[in-house]
Amino acid sequence: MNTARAQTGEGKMHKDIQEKYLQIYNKQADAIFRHCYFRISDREIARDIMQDTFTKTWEYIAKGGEVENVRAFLYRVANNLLIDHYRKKKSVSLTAIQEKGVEFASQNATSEIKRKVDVGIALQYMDALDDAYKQVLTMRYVDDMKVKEIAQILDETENAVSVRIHRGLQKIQKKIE
Amino acid sequence: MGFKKYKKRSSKQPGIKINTMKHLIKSLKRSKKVSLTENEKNWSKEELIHFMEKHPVRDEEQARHQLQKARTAFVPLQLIHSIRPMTALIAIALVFSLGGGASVAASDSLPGEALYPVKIHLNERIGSVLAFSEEAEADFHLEKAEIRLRETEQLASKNAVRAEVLNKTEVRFDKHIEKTEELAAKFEAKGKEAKAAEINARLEAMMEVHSQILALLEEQLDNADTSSNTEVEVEIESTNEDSEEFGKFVAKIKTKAEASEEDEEDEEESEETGPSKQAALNAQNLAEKHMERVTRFTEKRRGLGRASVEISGDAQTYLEEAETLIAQGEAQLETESYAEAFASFHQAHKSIQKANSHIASGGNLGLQLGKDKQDNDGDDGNTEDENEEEEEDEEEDEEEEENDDNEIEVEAETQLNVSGSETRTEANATLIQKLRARF
Repeated sequence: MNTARAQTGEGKMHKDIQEKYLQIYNKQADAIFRHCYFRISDREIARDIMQDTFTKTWEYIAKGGEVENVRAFLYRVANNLLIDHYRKKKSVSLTAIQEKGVEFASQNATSEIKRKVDVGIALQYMDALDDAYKQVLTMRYVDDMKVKEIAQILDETENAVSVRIHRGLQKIQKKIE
Repeated sequence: MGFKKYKKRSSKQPGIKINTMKHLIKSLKRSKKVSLTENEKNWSKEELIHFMEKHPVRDEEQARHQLQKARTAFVPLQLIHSIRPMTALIAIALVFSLGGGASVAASDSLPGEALYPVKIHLNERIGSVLAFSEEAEADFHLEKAEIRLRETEQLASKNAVRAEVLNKTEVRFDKHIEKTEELAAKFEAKGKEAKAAEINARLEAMMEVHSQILALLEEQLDNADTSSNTEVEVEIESTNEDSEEFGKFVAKIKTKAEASEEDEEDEEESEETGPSKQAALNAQNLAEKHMERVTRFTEKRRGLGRASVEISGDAQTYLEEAETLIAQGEAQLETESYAEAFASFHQAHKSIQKANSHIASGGNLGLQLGKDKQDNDGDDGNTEDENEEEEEDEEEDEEEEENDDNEIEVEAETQLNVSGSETRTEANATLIQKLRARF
């Protein structure tokens, strides 16, 4: 049946759509993965959630859903999945992070070590926070979003987001002292 | 009257510590390098393709249309969300119907007062729009950050700090600082070292001065708690939470002050090649401009009728210090010691900033602020007793000034569109009445 469709114009459009979506995947997969990783500190699960994000989004589009802004939509989906995950499971304990260590994609030894330290530090301090704070802090500093963008994704006011970021930082500041 | 010399920091302690929020945020940002491996990415991609095959598109036209317009950049769909609509409307209505008086009257308002939203959303917004260059933007954010500090200080001097209000002010303050630091980093990256240095110098000086002021105010408030509060009328009683929040804020500023000092030392350490001639010349240019701005500012204030305001002793000393440093820098330029010249202008910025901060806030609050402990080599040629006498004299002077100040403020506002003998709070009330009549 596939070959039959491939011969008609329809088949071509089908391919076209797939390609477009895969392009989006290429661009956004890392960012989504990174965001998940900072929320739950587990590489495997982060990958799974990233995967689910893209499959769910595809399902939505395949069923005819409307998407104003794909990136925002992806983050929303990921966000919901992460919250679900949190509800089921407590976050990975600190010792687990320290034991597993932080894993990286890069092959360069020295920069890898530097990064390991940075991420380790960041994770350590973020880990104790409630997910609500982790959420906005990750989006703000890891995903590099502006407050306006975060507000859009989470469907809250900019002010609320600002205050939450501020309070999250305050909580970390307390930990530092 | 020495100035802080550039000194090498002793070797770093072993182990990694986060001692500032900035370091944490830097860590978070560097963590952007976390990503999927080629294999992981491809494997996931294959899985995705497999999934896509299993779940074919129902309406191909629709799907393609959606993906066609797939925007990945964020578009500001909700511009209005950024300012609460009612506030914006009120602000605009006020300005047009009252001939701009509201905007001017708002410029002195404090957090919690009725006209404060006008100050934030109108006056300051206009100011930010007018900042055409990034340099101007950096100046803008630096100034606003300082204004936030001053507002808090004024509230504290009246024991009118409230936790909720302080939090909101703090959020704004943080934003301004963040922007300032961002821009400073940008300047460095773009090779505008002189401007970056200026901004950093001013930031540091600002933190130092206000850290002192806030500490003094905190002390005052702690002492005031034990005695009864008959002089100052407060509408709502201050609670423990309020003093707690204020205490936190003061501690935070202090930490920032110490941290930025450390950063400065870090930067000095990491400089491999000294500043070039051009950088030194730029620094000179900026220092002179900065000096000009501050002197113009004080003259403007005199012009508005605050004639009796003398620049406090501290501020005067700082300005003189700055002049000396600028002259020194010029001399060093002549002898082609560019690194030293750069350093001199850098220090000059700090002194000017300190003077500025003192002029604006110290006088009004009737506080006696000491100079840096580092600056005070005891070189002012007085004995300790003589110093104490001087300080007491200055305090008396400042009290007199304050009384004069109030009278003159009222006069000044008469010139500025507020009727007759109304004080500022009364003027606010009148405006609010007018506003209510309209809505």
